[in-house]
Amino acid sequence: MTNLSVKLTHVGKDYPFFSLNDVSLDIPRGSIMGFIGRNGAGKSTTIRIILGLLRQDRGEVEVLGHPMPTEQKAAKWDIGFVSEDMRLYAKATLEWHMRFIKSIYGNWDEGHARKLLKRLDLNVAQKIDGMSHGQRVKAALLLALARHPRLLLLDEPTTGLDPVARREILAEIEGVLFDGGERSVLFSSHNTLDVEKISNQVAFIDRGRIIQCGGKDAFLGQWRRLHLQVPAGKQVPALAEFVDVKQDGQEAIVITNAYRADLQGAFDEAGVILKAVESVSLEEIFLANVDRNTERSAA
Amino acid sequence: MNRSLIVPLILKDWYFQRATLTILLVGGIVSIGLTLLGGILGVVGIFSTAMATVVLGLVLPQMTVVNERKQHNETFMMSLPVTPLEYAAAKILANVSMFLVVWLAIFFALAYEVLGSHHSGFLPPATVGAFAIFVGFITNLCFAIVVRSEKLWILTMTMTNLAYGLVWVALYRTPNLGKQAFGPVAVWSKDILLLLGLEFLVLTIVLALGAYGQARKTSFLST
Repeated sequence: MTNLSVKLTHVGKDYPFFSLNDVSLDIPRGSIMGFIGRNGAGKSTTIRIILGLLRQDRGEVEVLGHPMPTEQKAAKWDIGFVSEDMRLYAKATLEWHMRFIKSIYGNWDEGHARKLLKRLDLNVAQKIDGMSHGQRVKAALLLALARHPRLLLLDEPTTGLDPVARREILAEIEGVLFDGGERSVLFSSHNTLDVEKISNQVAFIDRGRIIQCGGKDAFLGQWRRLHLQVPAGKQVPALAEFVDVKQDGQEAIVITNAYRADLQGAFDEAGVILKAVESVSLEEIFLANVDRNTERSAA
Repeated sequence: MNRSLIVPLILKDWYFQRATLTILLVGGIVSIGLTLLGGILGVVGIFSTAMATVVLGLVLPQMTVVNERKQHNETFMMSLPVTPLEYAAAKILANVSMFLVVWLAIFFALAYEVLGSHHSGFLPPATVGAFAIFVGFITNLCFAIVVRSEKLWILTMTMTNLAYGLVWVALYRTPNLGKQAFGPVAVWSKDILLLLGLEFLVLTIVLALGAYGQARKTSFLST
């Protein structure tokens, strides 16, 4: 049995004004992957290909051991999906939706559903069109979680939510990992704070390409902001791991994606003084990656 | 195809359309009642009986397929463990069963009335007309499922409504139909059978094109 919940290999999909190109992505079992990209970067397209709702033009997709979209039905038994633009039936109550899902999935856990109702502060008798946006997202999440899916695909679930609803939803998503440790989550967002809070894997996507992917801690551990003093006549050394260099007079700020202690040697050699080393947020890492990708595309 | 998955999808459409079905069924039966009164009310009754089934053939695909797509419920449905073909099959079965319940009730009520009133000759052209409405409904439904463009959907509805007019013209031009339709005996002439055969051919072509179009899809969502 593979250790991966999702494996995308060189996946591509073409539209008249957008292409998903050469997307390769592995989501290990028992992980929460934050999928970060700006609007229109290809997050939803990728997630829909994973769910089998779109057929890729190129490449291979394997989800929970099933090739997609050919075996989408078998895979979807174990997938929970919540998307910002997915709507439940407005004129039906949450209770009706719960009965509907229960009639399809044999593994519907009524006890867990009732617990989620309480935790998410939802009323089963309420019709969906009487719910706020946050309540609708929570209702959709309840319907997905109450059957313990092995893979949870969440496409921008926290967009437009107030801080309380966001916290509740993030807590539930995080809780999935405690549910046996074999479940995985792919969580797309353009809000890096949400991703930083709950994910242990991170993938950045920009203009239809995965530009970086890996463990969140490794990202945060390797990326640093360096404050340098550059004496007159000296220059910041041009190292490959310097993602961004900004200089104003004798002050320079460098962002590196591969910080290591022996960089000090390179600075000494160049006659540059390292004044401070700071951690970098996921948002800064994402933005630096996007900028670099934009420069590469322009070149 | 998994029956246990298809059935909840069909029941779901029945549940959401129960009010529409009731209104059109009651409307259809009342219309048939009007035809019993004869005279101008009888003509209104025949016209509104036909309208009830025509409206049903338009409203069902609109409510169950087009609106489901526009309101993004389709994304929710397609996230369930169904294939696009199963989803389409469930839609067709749900719609056809809902349509048939109302259509057959109206048709049999009409047939009962016609046969009991010594105007059995009306039955063959009424059958051609009623079957045309069924074919029009299936055409609307298949296009609604396969084609995602709302403009094309509106065009399809317009075309099927125009096609009903062609059926009436064809009936009007059928030799001796005027006499036979108001006679006491149902005459299933060659012309009537030819018209029914043509309608059946159109139905077969529409279903085949629908299945082909659905099988060729690479995107199963509207956005």
